Amino acid sequence: MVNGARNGGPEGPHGGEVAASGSVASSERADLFRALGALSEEPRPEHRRLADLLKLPEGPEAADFTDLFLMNLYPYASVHLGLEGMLGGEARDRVAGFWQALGILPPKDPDHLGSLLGLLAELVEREEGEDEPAARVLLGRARSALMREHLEPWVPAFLGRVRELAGPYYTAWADLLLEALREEAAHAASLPVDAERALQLELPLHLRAVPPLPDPREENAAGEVTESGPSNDGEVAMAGGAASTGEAFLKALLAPVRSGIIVTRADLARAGRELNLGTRMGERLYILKALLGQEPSATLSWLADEARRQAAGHDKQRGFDEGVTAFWSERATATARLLDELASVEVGMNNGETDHG
Amino acid sequence: MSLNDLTKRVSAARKEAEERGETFYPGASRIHLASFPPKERWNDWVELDSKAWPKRVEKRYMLVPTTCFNCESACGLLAYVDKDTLQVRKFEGNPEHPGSRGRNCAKGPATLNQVTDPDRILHPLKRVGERGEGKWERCSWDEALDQLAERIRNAINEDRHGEIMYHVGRPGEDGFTERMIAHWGIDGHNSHTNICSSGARTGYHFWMGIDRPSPDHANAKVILLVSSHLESGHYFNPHAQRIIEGKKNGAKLIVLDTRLSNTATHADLWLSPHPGSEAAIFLAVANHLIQHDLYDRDFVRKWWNWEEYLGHAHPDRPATFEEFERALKGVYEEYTFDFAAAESGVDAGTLQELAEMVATSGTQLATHNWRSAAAGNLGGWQVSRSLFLLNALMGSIATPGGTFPNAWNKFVPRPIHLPNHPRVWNELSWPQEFPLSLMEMSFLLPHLVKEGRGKIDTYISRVYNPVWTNPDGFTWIELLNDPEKIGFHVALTPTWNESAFFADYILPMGHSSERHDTISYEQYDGQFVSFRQPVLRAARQRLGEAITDTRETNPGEVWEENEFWIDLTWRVDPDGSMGIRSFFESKKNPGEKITVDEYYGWMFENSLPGLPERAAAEGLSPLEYMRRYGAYEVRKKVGQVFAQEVPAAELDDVHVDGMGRVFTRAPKPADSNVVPFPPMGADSEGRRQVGIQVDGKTMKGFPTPSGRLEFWSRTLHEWGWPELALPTYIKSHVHRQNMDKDQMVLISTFRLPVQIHTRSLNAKWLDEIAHTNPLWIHPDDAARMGGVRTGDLVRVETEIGYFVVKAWVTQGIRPGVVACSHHMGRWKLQDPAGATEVVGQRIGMATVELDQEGTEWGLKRKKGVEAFHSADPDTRRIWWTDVGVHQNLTHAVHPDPISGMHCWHQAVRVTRAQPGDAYGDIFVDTARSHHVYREWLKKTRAALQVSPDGTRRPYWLLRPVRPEKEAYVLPMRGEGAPAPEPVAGD
Repeated sequence: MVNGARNGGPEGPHGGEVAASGSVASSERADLFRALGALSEEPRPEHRRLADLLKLPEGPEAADFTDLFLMNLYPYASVHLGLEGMLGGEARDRVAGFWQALGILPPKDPDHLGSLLGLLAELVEREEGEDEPAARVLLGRARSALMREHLEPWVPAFLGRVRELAGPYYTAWADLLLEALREEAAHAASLPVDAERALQLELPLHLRAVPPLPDPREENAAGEVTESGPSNDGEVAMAGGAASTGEAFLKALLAPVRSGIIVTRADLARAGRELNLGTRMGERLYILKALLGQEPSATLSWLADEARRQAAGHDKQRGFDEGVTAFWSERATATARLLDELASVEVGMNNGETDHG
Repeated sequence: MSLNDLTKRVSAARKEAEERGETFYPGASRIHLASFPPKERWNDWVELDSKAWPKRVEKRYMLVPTTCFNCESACGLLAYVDKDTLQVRKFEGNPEHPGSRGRNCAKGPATLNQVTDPDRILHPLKRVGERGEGKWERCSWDEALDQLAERIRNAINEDRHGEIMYHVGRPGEDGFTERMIAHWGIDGHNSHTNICSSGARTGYHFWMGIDRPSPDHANAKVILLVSSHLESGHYFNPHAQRIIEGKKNGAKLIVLDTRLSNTATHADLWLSPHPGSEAAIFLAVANHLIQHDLYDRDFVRKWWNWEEYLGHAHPDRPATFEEFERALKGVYEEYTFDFAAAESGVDAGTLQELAEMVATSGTQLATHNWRSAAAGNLGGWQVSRSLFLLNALMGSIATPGGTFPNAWNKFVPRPIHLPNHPRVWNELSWPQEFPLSLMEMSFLLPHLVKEGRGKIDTYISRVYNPVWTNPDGFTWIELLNDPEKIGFHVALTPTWNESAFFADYILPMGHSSERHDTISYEQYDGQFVSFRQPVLRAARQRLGEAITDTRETNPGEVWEENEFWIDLTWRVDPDGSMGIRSFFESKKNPGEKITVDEYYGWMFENSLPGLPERAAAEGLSPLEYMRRYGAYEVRKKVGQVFAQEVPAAELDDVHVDGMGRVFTRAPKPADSNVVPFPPMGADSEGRRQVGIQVDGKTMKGFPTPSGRLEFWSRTLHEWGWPELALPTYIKSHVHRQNMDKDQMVLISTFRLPVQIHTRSLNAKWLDEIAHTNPLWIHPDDAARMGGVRTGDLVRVETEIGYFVVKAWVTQGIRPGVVACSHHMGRWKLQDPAGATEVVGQRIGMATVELDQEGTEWGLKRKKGVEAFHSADPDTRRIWWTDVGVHQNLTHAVHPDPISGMHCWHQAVRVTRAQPGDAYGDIFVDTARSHHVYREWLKKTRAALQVSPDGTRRPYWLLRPVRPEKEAYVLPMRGEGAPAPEPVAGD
């Protein structure tokens, strides 16, 4: 797959065309990234000063931050790009490797959005301050690689969901960041394509060779899942057959890079409300199993609709690499398809007890 | 507003903030130390009160820096002073501290426990009843000080200088007290160092004239540790964070540790050698480097004293470097991997892997040995010496990623007054049998006194607990309990300890947040000074109060030590006629006592280059700056000082001798850094040694007699030990050849990561984590003992007695070796009937009964610890009872004949406990321990027999409180201090 083409123009409250690099010095743009990165961290009194400078609405309350970044949308590359959909693992190692390749000691959370934006700012500044032309080219490439490999593959999709779930303050923050990243993406795409870079014009490494969602029917037949219960954390026999037969499937569904959708606690609570089911709060897998245990078919159908909705959201994303956008959209669409099929055959899957207790 | 406009707004605001010297981003990017309160807000820091949760109650704090006083690392702490109560609520790391960089181990935050400990000593106490009886009453500071001052004054006036002794455990400061002692004109400084690091120091000292290593772990390719340095040990927090940085950057970590320590688990290569064989391993590595020409030839040619060696060992051969290299190939040829494997029990293949790893390090080899093997074995000083041989071969000395001499990575600011050298020599600290001992023979004191070599009129122990810490504690009790031997004992301590029980006065001194000190340590290639201060005093000064006596702000009547010594010195010499008081006289107000504000104000104003300017930029005085930030970095990247050219201004009427040493008439330039260096020699016409000739240039070289790295030590050669003049392998006292078949080696030197010797016992958090010390036994040995299981009682028999302890059966130890941490086993005596105050520490001390019949001593545990009511509700929640066993009581003294280090490892017999044995039982015969002392004394070669020049000790060797040169002259037999009895026929 060869990409690099950009679709459409930018959108968002700050609108207008992609700025040519003339009006703002790059080092000043570094300040913007650093400030936006800082605002993804736990709120402190100083944040208000930054937010005022950026004309953001009132906020943030500590509760907004907790609800958004600690309970629902985790601002880490590894959560969105890792095969397990969790913090750490190979995806984080890849990000840490990038820091090391630059000769910078990786910080404690190398793949946190704030860390990555801080690094982007650092590279922008270093490039600006570098007098040696060859070194400047290399720094420019590093900057573009950071955008292409570690930000573009997940941040637009992540911010798309932030805009849906957050209050006014973080929505405005997400809009601003999206706009700044669009510009950065355009800058990265504008670099001349040399032989070395042509090789990179396939999908970012994080998105290459990601296995599709496993079909739980095959999973069951192949006997891959041998655990006797749904999991080992005490929720014995609660969720019934759907969960016990589809453990790997459910985990993959909750891993954004595999399913193409970002399913949050808030989404699952919404599903419970809309389907009139009891929502048992806990980790997402637990909530999901509880829903499936009550109404498997309806839950699967709800998830299919949600996947279609998110696919449409990916499609609407403008200003980023087409291949990346297509990756997310195609994944979400395939997920919707599979969920539809499963919903129709659900009765066969639900062969365990369904104690709604 | 467009994105560009917003961008410009942020950028402009950032520039404005930085111009004001403020931090703009509150933790952006996580690249920086983002999680610390920005320093601009230290005066008014707001946090939610954790105790009020789930209510959101704001707490306002003033953040005041100080320096941790638990281990020697001197990490930065930030005290969170509650603005409503003016009490410290917690301690966290100080991000402005260049050594610890905001990070702490468990012991730092636990300072809070020590401050609020319900059993701490808050008032001066005076013994009533007999010594050791446990009856005390409160007294005033004036009473204690007057009595102490009078005794000191009388001893000095009556020419009994040798009868005053200041004995220090953890100094925690750079030279304040040492200089004061020197100015008193006495040689009365005694340290703990010969039970600690003298072994390692000696090895380093003979190489380079400087006695500590300063490895640059963060930039190393290969890190080689003889210790469990990632979890404990000197500077372990500042070093561990840099070792991990090095590892993240791809460094290989090699660990030699007989135990599977936490550090060993992080190693790329872990070796578990038979204790004492470490030097054989390093010499085999050296041999590999030499035989395969893998060493840095140019470095060796320039900086080793190979010409001196060749001239001595092969006077017939031409004095060329090539000839030396030929000779070198022969020196270690017998140290094959097979030989080292046979000695160490580590297979030859692994040793070869080790050697090959070292060979790949280039100039980035960071090595470290401080206690561990160097402190455990007879000849342990050759472990650090042979380890440093690897650095000397690879040229990785003071290189990025290499190992630095510490004195170049340390800054001791010149104080307002420097002392004179005393004119006397203390034979009880520096006996003639040990002319090369690097430090005072402190742990032999009771035996030396027992032999009638002297007595002590006034003994001041300070953060020092010899009864518990030293080997052979019962002999110490015999000494401390005998008023004929110790006339008067004052214990300066913040908390109860086993030695203070036998004192006459106990004077409460502050913890790390209650005292002043400056301290600087080699933790990376740079120089910093860290300031310790009483934080409540600093907080109240910030609020505008004038505090002149720290007792106003410390808990109870706990004092600040500098003020104590100033006051005491003035009482010793009230009218100045003895010339002692002048040391603590004000310069601003002549004839008045100096204040701590003037003392440190002068030092920071005049002796810390760059600080006045840095402080002025923030509108602060240098003292205010240090009170505000707690530390100052003087220099970064010091590099290879030895390879710097001597400035032309220092070269006047130069003379170069046959060894290439350069002498000058130019006086030594003044330096505001007074870090101890060995005194350099002079030529026959009085010019001072200033450097060495290397390839036609005059370089600074090393502070050794030859000016170079001393591969061959003329000092050792001339002072009676020619066979040890090169780095060699000495078979330890626990070498298989020196043990009976049924004996095992006991490793007793290791620390528990959250404890620190005797000082952390009053920290409840630390005690809860670690409170006992079972005996590590390998399953093979446990099976051989008849199926001993974890928790079973075993009896460990040493050469002077035994102790009964619980077994911990683990594969984490070499078969044939057992291990027991020295940290636990604290005890107190039963309170005498009718006592109103608790004598001892209830959180961590078992209650015991002592039983003495002649020279036979027994210790029996009456009860462990238990929950109790106090002002701290946590003491009702103590759930553990076991606090370990005090094994050091059963160790005899083992003075190394050269370094003077106590050789800690013990040859023991381990059996199942016998009927009637109870947990914690200890038995010792002090007559046997004195006999062992005499046996070890036979290994020495006394100055009278070996001194080449009629002096007591080579003058160039480092020495605390160096006396005048005349005091170095050996007294003739029968005059001056009593000469030791010959021991040959003993």
